Order: sequence, then C-alpha cells, then structure tokens
Amino acid sequence: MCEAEAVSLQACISVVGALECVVRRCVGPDGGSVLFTKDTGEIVITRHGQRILTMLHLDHPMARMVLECVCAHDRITADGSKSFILLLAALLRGIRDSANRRHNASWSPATNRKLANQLLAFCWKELDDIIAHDVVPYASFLFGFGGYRLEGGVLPALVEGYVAGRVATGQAEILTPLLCEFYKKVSHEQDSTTVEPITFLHSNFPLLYAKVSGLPAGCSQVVKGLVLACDWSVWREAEGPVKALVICESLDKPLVAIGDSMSICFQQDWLLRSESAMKQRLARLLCLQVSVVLSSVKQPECVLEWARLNGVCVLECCDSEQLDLLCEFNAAEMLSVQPMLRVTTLTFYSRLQLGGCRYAHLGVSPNGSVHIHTLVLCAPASGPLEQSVCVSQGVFTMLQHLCLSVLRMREQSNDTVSLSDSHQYQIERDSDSLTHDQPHMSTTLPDQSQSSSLDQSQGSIKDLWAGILKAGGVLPVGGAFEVLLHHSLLHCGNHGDLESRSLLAKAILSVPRSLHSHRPRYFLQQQAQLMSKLQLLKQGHTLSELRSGSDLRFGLGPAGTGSLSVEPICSKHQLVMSVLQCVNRLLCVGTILHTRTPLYRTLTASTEDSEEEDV
Amino acid sequence: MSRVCKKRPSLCTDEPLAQTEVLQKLSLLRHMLSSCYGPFGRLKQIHNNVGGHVLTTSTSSVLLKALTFSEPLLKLMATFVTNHISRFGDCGLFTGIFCIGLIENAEKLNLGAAAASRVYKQLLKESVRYLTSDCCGCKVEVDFSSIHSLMALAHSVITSKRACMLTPDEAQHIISITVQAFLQSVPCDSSGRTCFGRTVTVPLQGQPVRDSAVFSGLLVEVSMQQSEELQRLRPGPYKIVLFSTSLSGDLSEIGEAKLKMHTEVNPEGALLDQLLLLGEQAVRDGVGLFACQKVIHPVLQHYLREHGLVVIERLGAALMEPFVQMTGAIMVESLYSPVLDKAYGQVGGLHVYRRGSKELLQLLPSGEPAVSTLLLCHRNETMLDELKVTCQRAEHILRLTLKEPYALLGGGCTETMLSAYIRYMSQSKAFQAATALNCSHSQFLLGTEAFCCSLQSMASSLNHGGQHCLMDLTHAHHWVTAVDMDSQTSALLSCSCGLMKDRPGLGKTYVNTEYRSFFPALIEKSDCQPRLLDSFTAKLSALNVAVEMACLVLDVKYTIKDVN
Repeated sequence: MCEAEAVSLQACISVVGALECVVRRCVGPDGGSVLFTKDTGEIVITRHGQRILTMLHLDHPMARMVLECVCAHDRITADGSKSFILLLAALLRGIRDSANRRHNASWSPATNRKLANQLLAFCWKELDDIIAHDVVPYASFLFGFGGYRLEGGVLPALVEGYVAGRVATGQAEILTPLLCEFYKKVSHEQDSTTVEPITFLHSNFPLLYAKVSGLPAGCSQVVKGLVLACDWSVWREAEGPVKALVICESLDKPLVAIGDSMSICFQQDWLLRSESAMKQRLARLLCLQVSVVLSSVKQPECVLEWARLNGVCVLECCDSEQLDLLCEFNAAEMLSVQPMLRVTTLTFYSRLQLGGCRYAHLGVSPNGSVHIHTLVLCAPASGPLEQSVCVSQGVFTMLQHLCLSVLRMREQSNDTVSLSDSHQYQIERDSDSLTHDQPHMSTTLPDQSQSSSLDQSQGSIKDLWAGILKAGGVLPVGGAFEVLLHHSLLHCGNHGDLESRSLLAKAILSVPRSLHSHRPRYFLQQQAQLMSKLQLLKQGHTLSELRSGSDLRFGLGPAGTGSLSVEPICSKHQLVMSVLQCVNRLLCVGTILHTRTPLYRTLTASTEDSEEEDV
Repeated sequence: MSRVCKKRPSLCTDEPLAQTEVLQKLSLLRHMLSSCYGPFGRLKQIHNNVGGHVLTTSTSSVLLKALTFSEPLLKLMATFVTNHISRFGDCGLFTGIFCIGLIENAEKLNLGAAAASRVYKQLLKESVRYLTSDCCGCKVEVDFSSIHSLMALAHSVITSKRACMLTPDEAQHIISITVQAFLQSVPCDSSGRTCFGRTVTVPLQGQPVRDSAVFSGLLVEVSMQQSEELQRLRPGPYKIVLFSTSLSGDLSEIGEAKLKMHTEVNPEGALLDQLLLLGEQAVRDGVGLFACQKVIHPVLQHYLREHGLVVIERLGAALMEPFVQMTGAIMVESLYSPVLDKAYGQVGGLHVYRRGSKELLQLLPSGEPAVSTLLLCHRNETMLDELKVTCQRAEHILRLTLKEPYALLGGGCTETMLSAYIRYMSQSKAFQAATALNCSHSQFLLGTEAFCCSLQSMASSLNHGGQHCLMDLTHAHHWVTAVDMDSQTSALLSCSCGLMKDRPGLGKTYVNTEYRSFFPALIEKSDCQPRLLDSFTAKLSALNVAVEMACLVLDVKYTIKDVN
C-alpha cells in the first residue's frame, strides 16, 4: 500500500535548485548569512552550508539524500558544503543539457544513468591522476622559489581563507589571529613538526573552549590551562602545584547503598554511626594531602563542610569528559575502582571571571608537544557565538584533513622510493619522473622539482606547514583550483572519455562564478590572468619574473588587507569526488515509494520514506 | 499521537532589509527606544489587552523583556541589547538606538551590506583608538581623591531612570547614599590581594525615600516579640555560630535510607534531644548570637533565649555568604556532631532599629566593615523595584571605574565630539582608507556620513521637548537651547555636560547639518567640573556591540521562519 512517484532528472534539478537558491546567497566573503527562527522561538544565524541545509528540515526524499551526502562530505573535510550544492546543481544541469542536445537521437532515462556511471568511473580512475599531475605541481611552484610569499606563514593564510567564508568580516578579522594563536600556544613552538597538536585539537575541541555572551567579540582570548564551566563550591586561594582528587560519584553513595541492603534500626546512636563512617572516609582523603577535589556530581553538604574546615577547594558538577581529559593527559594515579578515585597534579588553580559568570581555571602540565590551552570565545549574543564555535571546530577538522592527506601523499611517495638515501636511486627516480611527466608542465622546471622531491623523500621535515606548502597542498582561494582543474580537464592528457571531462569542466567553473557573482568581469579577468601565467610557467619562466606584470589577485583577503588566503587542495579534491558520487546516487533512483511502515535504520533513508534503488 | 498535524512550510524572506515592512518595524522600535532615552525620557506603559499586570518603565532591560517581537531581526537585536545590559548594566538604549541608526542610514544611503560593514568596522576601530588615546577630549580621569566625579557618574545613571519617580531632592539623597555604599565596599588596605566588600540591598516599602540609608554590617529583620529582649543587650563583641542546615527537628534530610523504628523510640524526641545538646554546647562556649539559614525548633529557641542568646532564624540563602564574609564563621552543616572551635565567628555589636512597622537588627562587623547594607525605601512596590535595580546598576558602574579609571562626558557631548573627530579623520585619510578597505572612495565617505549621523542623532534624541540641539565648532560640545530662543546669541550658560562655559564668538551649528570638518580641540584648564558623566567601560562596549550587531543584521540575506 504505497504510493509510487517517478523520479525524473528534472525533478532532481528542481530540488537541488531550490537548495542552491538558499545557499548561493552565503557563498564567499561577500555573501550574507541566513537567519532562522525555530518553532521554539530560538534564533539561529549562520553562514555554514551544512548547518543551513540541516536547519531547513527537508521533506523531499531526494533533498534528504543530498543532505546526507553533504553531511558525509562535511564530516571528512568540514569544508565546501556550499560549493557542493553549487557544483551538484551545475552538473545536473549539464547532464540535462547534453541529454537535450541528443534528444532527437536515441535518448532514454538510461542514458542519464550511463552518463552518471561514466562520471563515477572517471572519478575513480582519472581524477586522482589529473589533480596529482596538473594541479598539485602548479600549486607547489606558485609558492616555491621566487613565487608568492605568504606573509605570516601558511597557517594564518589557511585559517583566513576558511574563516572568511563562514562568518561576517568583522568576526573573521578577530577569529583568524585568535585561532592561530590558539594553535601556536597549544603546540608551544612557532613551527611544529608533528601533527599531534592538530589531531589533539581536532578530537578534543569541544572540551577546550568556553563561551561568553554579552561581551564584544574583541574580548575573545586564549588562556592557559583548562577552563571548567562551573564555580568553586568551596574556595581558598593557594599557589603552586597541588594535588587534586577526581571523583565521579557522591561520596556518601555507598552509605546509602548499605542502608538499602540492611534495615537500620532507629536508635540513639544510629545517626552518629553513619556520620562516623563518613568521617573515616574523609579522614582517609585528608591523608592523601589533596588540596583540590574535582567532582562530576554534587557532593553532600558534610563534604563541603569538611572541605571548609580543612582548607580544601571543592569543584562540583564539572563536565566529566573534561575531567577524563585531565586525568588522561596527566596520567592520573588510580586509587580505587569503586568508587573511582583518581589523583592528579595541577600546576595552578584559580577563579576566572568571564562575562558575568565565574569559571574554574585549572593549570595542566604539558604532555609531549601538546600544551593545554582554552579558547575563550566572546560574542554579544548566542547566535554569533555558536557561529564562532562552529567555525573554530571546523578549522581544526580542515587542518587535520589537510595534514593527514599530505602526510599520506608523502608516505606513498616514500613507498615508491624506499631506501631513498642511495643517491643513484634518487637520480634515477628524478629522471624517471622527468620522462614520465614529460607532457605536463611540471617538468619544465627541473631544478625545482629535484629539490622539492629531495625534500619530500627525506621523510622528516623541519616544519609541517612549510612542508605542506612545498608539497603543493594549498592554492589561493577564490577559484584558482577550479580554473586549473577546468584547464587541465580540457587541455591536458587524452585519457578518460571526453564527454564526462567536458561536463565536469563546465560545471566546475560555476563555483568561482557564483563566488564573484557581483562582479562577473573581475572573475573573467582573473581567469584570463591565471591562464596566461600558466602558459608562461609551461614555457619555463619563474613567477618572480612574472610578478612585474599583473599580480594574481585571486586570493586577496576579503577585507582587502592585501594578504593572500589559501585553501587546501585535498578538500577540493574530496569535494569533486563527493559530488560525483552524489550525482550517481541521485540519478540511480528511479522511483520513490512512500511507505507507512517504519524502516530499519540500516537503510539509507531516515524514517518515513525510502529510496528504491532501481538501476 | 492521536492527531498528526501536517507541518506547515516555513516562511522565507529574501533580502529582509529591502522590504519596507521590516524597515518600518525597525524605525518604530527606534522611536520607541529613543523616546525613553535620557533624563527627560518618556515612560512606557505596557499592558496585555486581555488584562493583567501593567508595567511602567523607561529602562531598556525591562522594556525589551516585556515586548514580544514578530520580526526575527528585531528579536535578534533585542537579545543583543539584553545581553549587553546583563553584562554592563548601562547604555542599553544607546546600543539599540545607535545600531538601528546605523542600519537605517546604510539602507537610506544605499550602501552595500558588505561595504557598509567594512566601513563601520573601520570607523569603530578609529573611534576606539580615539577614545582610549590621551588626546581624547571627551574622556576624563576619575579622580578618587574627590567625590565629585563619582557623584556625577551616579547622577547620570539614577536620573536617567524616570520610573523611579524621584524628586530632585530625593534623587540627590539616593545618589549620595549609593556613592557612600560604594566607598564602604572598597577595602582600605591595598597590600596583597584584597577582596571587594559587599553591599546588601534591603528594600522597605511604604517609607519615604529620605529614610533610605547605608548601614555598615548587616541588617536583619527580627520579630517584634524579641525586641524587648534586644533592648537590654550587653555590649559586644559577640561570639556567633551559623547553621546552614535546618534545626527544625524534621527527619526530611536523612535521604533515601530505609528506616525501621523500634516501638519504644520516639524519633522526634531523639532529634530534639540532639538539638538541645547543640544548644547546651552553644551556651557553654559563650555564644552570643545563634543564627540559622532555615527554621529553628521553638523549644531550642526558647532554651537559647532563656540563656540570654540572640536567636536569628530564616536568614535565607542570599544572606549566608555576606554573613560568613563579615563574621568569619564557618557554616555548620550537621547537627549530629559538636561544633568545632574554629567554626565560631565574631560580631562587633548589635543595634536595633525601628523603621515603620519593622524591627531591624543591625549586626556590626568586628573588624573592617567589608559588608554594608543599603536600606532603600519608597512609596510603593513597583517604584521600589525599579529603584533597587537602579541602585545596583549605579554601584556596578562605579565599580567598573576601579578597573578603568575613566569616564566619558555625558549629555551627548561625547557623541558630538566623536562624530566631529571621525568626520575630520576620515576626510583627511579617505583615500588610503578606501583602498585599504577594498571599497570605493564615495562608499567610504557615505559610510562615514551614516556613522556620524547616527552618532549625532544619539545626542539629539536626549531632548524630547523640541529644543534645538547645537554643536560648537571649536570643541564640538553639545548645547541645547529652549525652543523659543531663535538665535544662538541667547544666554546658554554651559554645554550639556557642564565642562564648558559659553563665550562670545563661539561658533555653533545645528546638529546634523553641514559644516566644515575640524579637529575637536582640547579644553585646556577649565575650572568647571563636568556635571554629567557616563561610564567609560560600558559605553565603549556599547559602541562595539552596536556596530557588531549592525554588521550582523546587514549581513542577513535570507530569513527562514518556522511557523509550526
């Protein structure tokens, strides 16, 4: 007993088009934000593509399928969900147009599916190759010898490029240096060599920030140690490293349990007896010489009184995850399992007044290359505050994805060049790559490619970020990637079927086009400039010679600060792959069946509707 | 789930600020806020048309909480303003009016949202730099050696709250006791880390405002029967004990344990015996004052009184912390063990006051008065509530000066001066600024115009009687003339803030008219003191918040409203 609904390509296009309509307004630094009023009266203001789509409460099953794809993509890169929709819409339209062109000939719904399968096959087989050979080398030359200098380093440029598209200009100006400072303080040295701090920040970010509303955003700061969103129940000022006891349950709990198991007679001495059991326990705690008690639950009054009398500080109702992090980080000593008592050391503890609220502030000694700091984010109201939190979290996801993908790339190249210290092998490989890369532009600069591959193959790099730059991990924001990919799809290499290449090439330009939609001429100029530069590079010039002419202004910051912002190539690569997969999924759907019976979660759809896959 | 309603589609609005309806709502809100602004602001009465409580106020926090907004943008602004007030307690109306002014002017001059917010941000930076720099003419240092600037600060907070219904004399009295309470809360010795004193506010309804006063120590209400005993008190100091647990003799606080009674045991009796044991100990240890947060069993009370102790029960949770701070006692949580020696505190003396129908017991601190009590009296409840909030605000503002010992000139002078400065600076460096901001020269100038107009109209919205607002062309102070005086030659004694005296030859122009830009000159060595001062910290933050909020609202391109 279910209604069936046939799905045509046109239906897909209109669904995705509706999503595009909402998202297009928020693309890029000059885009705006979307204001939601929920049915609860709560107000959410955001520019974040994935959040906008999730907030829409989409009903149409196709739209929900798209959303699922977007979320899956967002989980990996935390970047490019708005571009996802734009590219998807452009691709679908491209498929429709090519179908229309052949309409008179042999056209059937199966043709679309065939096209989608071709695109997917292209994505698996050719895309990696094209990006690795035509886009990445260009990126590494762009920032190589005589190329662009990134003032202040790669990290600020990356963060700026990411933040600018997600919050308003003023907020971005504050957040960018703040996030860089946060990373630098956590990694402690200026140029970190390991990925550890990024991984740490990525996985623990929810525990490492504090939100303060009612203050202007400029008051945001980075503070040392851990900030817990609760105030000390018992407070006494003290200095220096102290021992802290971490408790997860109420101290009198076992006593109640005893009361449950055996009936107590109400006698003159009963009350005294229960007190004395408690007292023994507290006396044992005192022997540990702890001066701070951190508890994730509320403690009975008598514990507080005991603390007051003995000069012990008590913090109740802490976030237990933060306590776990603290114990894990300090390798806390486990005292007993039931009830769980852990003892750890704090370098300092204090009260922190942020906005109108008091917070507890704990100092944690560093572990490895990670020094715990907390990001204090301020905003005048909760809407922008959520935005800042969301962006900050996204930045570290993006950075982690970038680092890991660049490291993976390096490992792969190391595998192919095992035992790279033999000099002869190195030369052999270089000449190999020379012959292999002959049709591509990278070979035109043999000196640089040699030095960079030497550096890469050495495995350990002095600086993670310089390494990423050298490996060609980033490109200027504002469409450089799309223009390059467009170019190489159309002009470089002949493998892969032509139809999907041209389809993709056409569609990919829609992203930068809508980014610069308010000044289309500017975009065309930039595209032409980049192309001419590409030609010159192929002929063997270096960028320093080219600079005298027109400058590449693609990546200029939104506020026109003159600094260059960059974006990671791997996110863009992932974006193209995710979109092609999504197109395939969409076009494979033949019919939608609306059922009344609940579906199991193992199916792709959420609750009421199912997508019947009919390939 | 007997009825399943079909979900209605959300309401989407594209480019909300381009719609006249939204703009009308914005300007309505601005009119509403600006008519409340300043010491001559008009009161607003809010009532529901199905009846209920009628609210009279001119305070932004009360007003914005009482109103419900249908437009999401307005709701967003209201949350911004209320958040700001909860933090700084002042300049809420300023934030709201200034922000709406910025938005409206940007729309009127047809600046693009992105360009407008960039220019506003830049101008904000310039303003903050000016206000924090030394060459700023609208900033005065708070002089803690004289009471004058503190009084001026309190004056502008208290007189701007019209709903307190104070006569000028009463206002003066309230101002002086607020400043006095603030001064008492500042610790004398500055060696090492010192803790702020605390001011407890006790409202008393039905007494004339002039009865309001500051007392050192705490003021606790006591029952009438006790007053005779209290009359014949021995002189202090007294040893005190403070319980935070209930001494009523109930068994309610035992928890979830099962109880099995022996037939011969009487639980109430057992507990009462326990309580009396405590009483005996208190008498033995020479305690003079026996206080409890909650209820004390009447038998215990009687026993204690018989032995000459003063008993205070039902202190309430709010008074516990100041009590501990003042006496140095440690709260006793359990009645099953003897009170430890170090848990006792000390009170310097006791004093009984009678105010109207109420008997108040003053507990004097034994050492330095870290705690003081502000007794506020007013004729009826609503006015008293408003007065209480106002005094707390004023004290907060005064405390902020300790962090940043500056104040800004009040009466609109800061606004006119800042706008003159911004206009001057941006005209002299318009070209560089525009290229740095990636916008056109004209866009930058228009943005400046919008910013300065909004600032100046802040100054002019202080007046509600149709007076003329003027600005002098040397120091850019703000001047107000009565409506019937047709020329500037009439006798204006001093500018709105009172720092400047009128003198012949001082060129003036109407606010928000064309004039040649100039750098507002500093006043050298004036013998006048400014009459009105605004909080530096609060106003700086208000400027920041207003600009941030305006940028955010201008940035909104799409609103989606769930109507389910």
